[in-house]
Amino acid sequence: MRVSLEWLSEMVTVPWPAEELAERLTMAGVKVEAVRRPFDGLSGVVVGRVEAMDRHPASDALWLARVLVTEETGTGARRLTIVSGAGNPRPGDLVCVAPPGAVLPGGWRIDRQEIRGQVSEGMLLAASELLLGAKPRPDEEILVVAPDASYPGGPPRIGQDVVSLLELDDVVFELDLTPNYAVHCQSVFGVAMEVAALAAEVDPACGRVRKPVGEWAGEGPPVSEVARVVVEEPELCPRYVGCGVVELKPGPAPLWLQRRLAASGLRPINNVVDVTNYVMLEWGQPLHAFDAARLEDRTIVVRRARPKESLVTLDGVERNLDEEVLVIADARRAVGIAGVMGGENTEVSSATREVLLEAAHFDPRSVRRTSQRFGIRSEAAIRFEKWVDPNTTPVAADRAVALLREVAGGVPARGRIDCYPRPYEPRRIRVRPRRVNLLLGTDLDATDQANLLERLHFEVDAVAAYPAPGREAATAAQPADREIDLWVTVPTRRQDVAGEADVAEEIARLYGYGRIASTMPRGQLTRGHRRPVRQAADQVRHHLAGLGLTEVVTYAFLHPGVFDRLRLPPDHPHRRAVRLRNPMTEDQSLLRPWLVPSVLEAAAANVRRRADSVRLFELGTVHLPAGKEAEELPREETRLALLLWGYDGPPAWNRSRREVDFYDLKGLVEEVLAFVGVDGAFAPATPRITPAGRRWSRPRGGPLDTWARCTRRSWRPTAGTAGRTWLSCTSRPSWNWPGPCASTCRRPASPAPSGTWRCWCPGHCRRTGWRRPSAKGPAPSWTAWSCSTFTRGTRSPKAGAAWPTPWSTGRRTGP
Amino acid sequence: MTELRELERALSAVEAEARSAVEAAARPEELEALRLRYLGKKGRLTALKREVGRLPAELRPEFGRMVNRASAAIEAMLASRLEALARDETARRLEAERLDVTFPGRPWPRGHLHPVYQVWEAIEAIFVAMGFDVAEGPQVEWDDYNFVALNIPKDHPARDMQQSFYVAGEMLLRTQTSPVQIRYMRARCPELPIRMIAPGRVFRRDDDATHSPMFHQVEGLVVDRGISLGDLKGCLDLFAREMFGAAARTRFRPSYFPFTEPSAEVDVSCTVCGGTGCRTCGYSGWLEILGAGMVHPQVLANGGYDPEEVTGFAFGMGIERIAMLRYGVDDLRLFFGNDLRFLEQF
Repeated sequence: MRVSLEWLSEMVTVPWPAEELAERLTMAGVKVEAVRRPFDGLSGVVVGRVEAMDRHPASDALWLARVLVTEETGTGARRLTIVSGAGNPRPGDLVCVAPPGAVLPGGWRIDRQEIRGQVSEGMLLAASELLLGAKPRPDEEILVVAPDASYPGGPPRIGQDVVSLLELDDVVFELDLTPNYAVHCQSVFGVAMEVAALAAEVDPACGRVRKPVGEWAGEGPPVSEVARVVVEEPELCPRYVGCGVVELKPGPAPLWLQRRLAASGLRPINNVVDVTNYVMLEWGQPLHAFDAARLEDRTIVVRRARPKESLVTLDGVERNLDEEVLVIADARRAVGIAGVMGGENTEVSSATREVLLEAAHFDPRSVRRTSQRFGIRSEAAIRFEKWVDPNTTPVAADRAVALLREVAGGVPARGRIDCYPRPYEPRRIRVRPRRVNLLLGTDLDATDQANLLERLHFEVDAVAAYPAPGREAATAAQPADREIDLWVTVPTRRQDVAGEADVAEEIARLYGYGRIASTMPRGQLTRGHRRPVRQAADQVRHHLAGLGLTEVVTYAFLHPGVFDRLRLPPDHPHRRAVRLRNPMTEDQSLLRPWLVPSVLEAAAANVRRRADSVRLFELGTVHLPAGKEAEELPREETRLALLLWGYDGPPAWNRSRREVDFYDLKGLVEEVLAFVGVDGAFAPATPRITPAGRRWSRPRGGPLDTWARCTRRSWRPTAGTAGRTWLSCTSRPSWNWPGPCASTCRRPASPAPSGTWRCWCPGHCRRTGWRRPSAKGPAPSWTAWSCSTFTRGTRSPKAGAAWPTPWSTGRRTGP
Repeated sequence: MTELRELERALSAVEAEARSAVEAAARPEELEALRLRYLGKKGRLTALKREVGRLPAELRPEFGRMVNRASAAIEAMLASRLEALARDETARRLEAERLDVTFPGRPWPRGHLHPVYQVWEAIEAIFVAMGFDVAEGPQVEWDDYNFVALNIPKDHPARDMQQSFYVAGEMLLRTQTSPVQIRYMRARCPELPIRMIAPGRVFRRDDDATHSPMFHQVEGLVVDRGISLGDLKGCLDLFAREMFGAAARTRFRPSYFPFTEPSAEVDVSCTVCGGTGCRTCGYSGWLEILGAGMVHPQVLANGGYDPEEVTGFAFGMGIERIAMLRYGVDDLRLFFGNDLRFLEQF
């Protein structure tokens, strides 16, 4: 949302310079993202009078204009010969001339140039060029300056700088609106109300807002002769206001209006459409003008679309409609998607003479659904889906009618259609000042709070409600303090203010968040806790980093093809993964059930970057599908993955490096186990992980890779209670995940025998205390693992046995 | 008397001989042999000692003194030579074992913790020290917890800000850590006070230099009797000073979140320029770091608490955002690219 300061100043007196106003609005919750000067850079453009307009001798499409840019005075008149693309100005018309050396917005510099054999001393400007610094539309005409007095700087004079004529030194605030403030700040009027509320603190006179209302008297035929309106869906369209304007003369809108539209980022089109856009920006009420003559049977019906009905919208796209979509229709066909976009069939054109102006209030949810479905983020939809004040609707319609009369020569039809069966009443909210102070940590009495709210044009009634708590014992000398309740009436344009807490926020932001003193929560002292398993996990992470491994964080997503690439058997449990219904890309469509593919991918990326040794780990979550898929959350487990690849350490001048092998990794796994105090044994196991076919290359005597996976079902580093940890590792000496020689695509000669290992840890912790060093020799180290057999009476964990998660996975609504 | 003079000369001769022999000795073993030769039971000096019988009784004590003096002199000679030899030996060994300390050492591999998790730990440490528990919640979450219980019904415009990944039915990848607020309150109700943070992974359908489909957030929640917006400011002021240094200042701006009312956006004075304005802060002097507010009465009620009796505040911040500020990283995707050349700098 862009707001022009010049426009704003028409409604409210701004006591601050632009930058300070921006700062104050930001600190009141209306975030000003940027303060822009859109016409900055514009210089040298003056008003000139066309003296002659001839065809270009060498072109049918071009014109040759003689323009007076300096009036006959002491120094003599100055005339320019300019080649023009449009020939609409007549001799005697005033135009905007950019002589050589002039600069248009955006730094577009005008120079003398030769066009088809004629030297053009500058340029005659169209509105787009002057206001936006953009190329004009193909059919856009040269801007003709009306010689009347309706300009901010008085009637135009020849040679006058257009900056002073049109106040083109304007400042525009770009607002970044949160969903709630968007409700009432998506209009100049709404922002003016905010500015007034802030400025009232400096000077009560600044707290008044001059409402831009339009007054008109119906001089034309009765509105019922323009069109009649039937609202079939009052739930989705609670209010529909229609006004008729006849005898319109479509054409370019006056400059001041075009200028304000341009400053707000909208392109001027013609005076009728520009007026509807102008009033939308001004009041936040989207308007639509239907060419009344093209309405079948001169009827407007607000109804749900019929099955298989379709409509070509203003953007030229055919939309297929159904009963979910609310449309504006005439007697026969749809003429607009309600609140989103009008249809081409009743679009205002240069031939339009009479229009029906629509100002309505549509159900925000319905507009939101429709605009999302068709992917149309029109200015109207953006406003309707937030909230448009239904009680402003006729005000905006009146304003538009008055403007159409003023700028498009229209004659208002008599009367106004207004379908509003159930008027919205303003909310009344009970506010307890004591409670507000408690919530904010302030000490504002009821009067202070009421004053702040009144600056926002909220009506406040104070009611002495009940004795203040703790002061019930009144004495004759000191009557009991009565607690004051405030009853706050919130205008309907502030739909976001619904309860006491919302009112408290309004009080706080006008008072200033910065003025609220910082305190620390009082009350019982508590000690912060972390779950022991998380502490252990962090200790292991630090330990692994100390051992020379680098931690990675990978996405929790997987590509579904990864299992084939790893040659998992088709029925392997790892293939059971949680699937996303709306992934961003196919390679992020699964939630990973194990970490291995992720760390392999991370390692492969580094190998592709010519890393010669990769040592990494990830401690991350995996998701395992629950039994009942849509009724129970997937099980989440934290797992550790270790990966070694390449050389065993950094290179040195006095050491020869060795490539890592399975035993490096096994040693690491043993170290982690010893660190957390559990014992384990290794044994071969499934799955066999082998490289997939053709897409992978064989290493050229390349380094060895080895990886392991360790699943911690339960991790109790110090306690002697039963805990079960299992872990499995795989070694694939002959296999290279897409390695440095990926260009040689050759299938591995033979899938070498799998080296898949599994390590079982017995159901208890070994390290439960400390042991005095034996005098007889070193304590027996645990050498009892074997690569082929179970040892030490270990058992495998029961398949599929789940450990309790720290949260409930079931679905539950309400406390 | 003449015998005494004779013996004295003999003694001097032995002493002189011993001196030249000791000085010629090159190794400790030779010195030991010399000691035996001169001072041992069958040594030269011992042999001379026996000549005492040839002297008259009155001269014997004097001769004894002479012998002792010679013996002591030879002992001293031996000792000093031994010491000199040992010194030489040490010097020689040192010379032989000399190292060039300017040669490079053999490197040890050093691992690195991920910068995002380093910041995660730093945030956790600050709040745990302030008495906050660390809570967790599932990453795959019910729409009810992620949105509805947090005051974001279906068709609420706030859902636009958080495009979600859906899993099945009403299940989605959580878009924020805020659902842990609800889970934590429901698990604890009616216990007071509640002070918790919930760090964790969140997911949104976004992918560019400042958005990633997966990132990390920390949620905070305090519920007790008499908690105020001032308390929220106090806690977050303290956090900002701990996280960004004692000079860090905060600024609270009104904002909007469906589950807090009043709500605030919290800025911290720019970590690069200190508030004077630079490229990092867009010349404003402030950096947006987190959103916060007083827990909405409806959310308290959804958690099982009576909003008339207790109040609370909540806040949420992106861990990557803070890591980017802390380390001056300008592209979020670097954190998940897992380039070791990047990670090894932290």
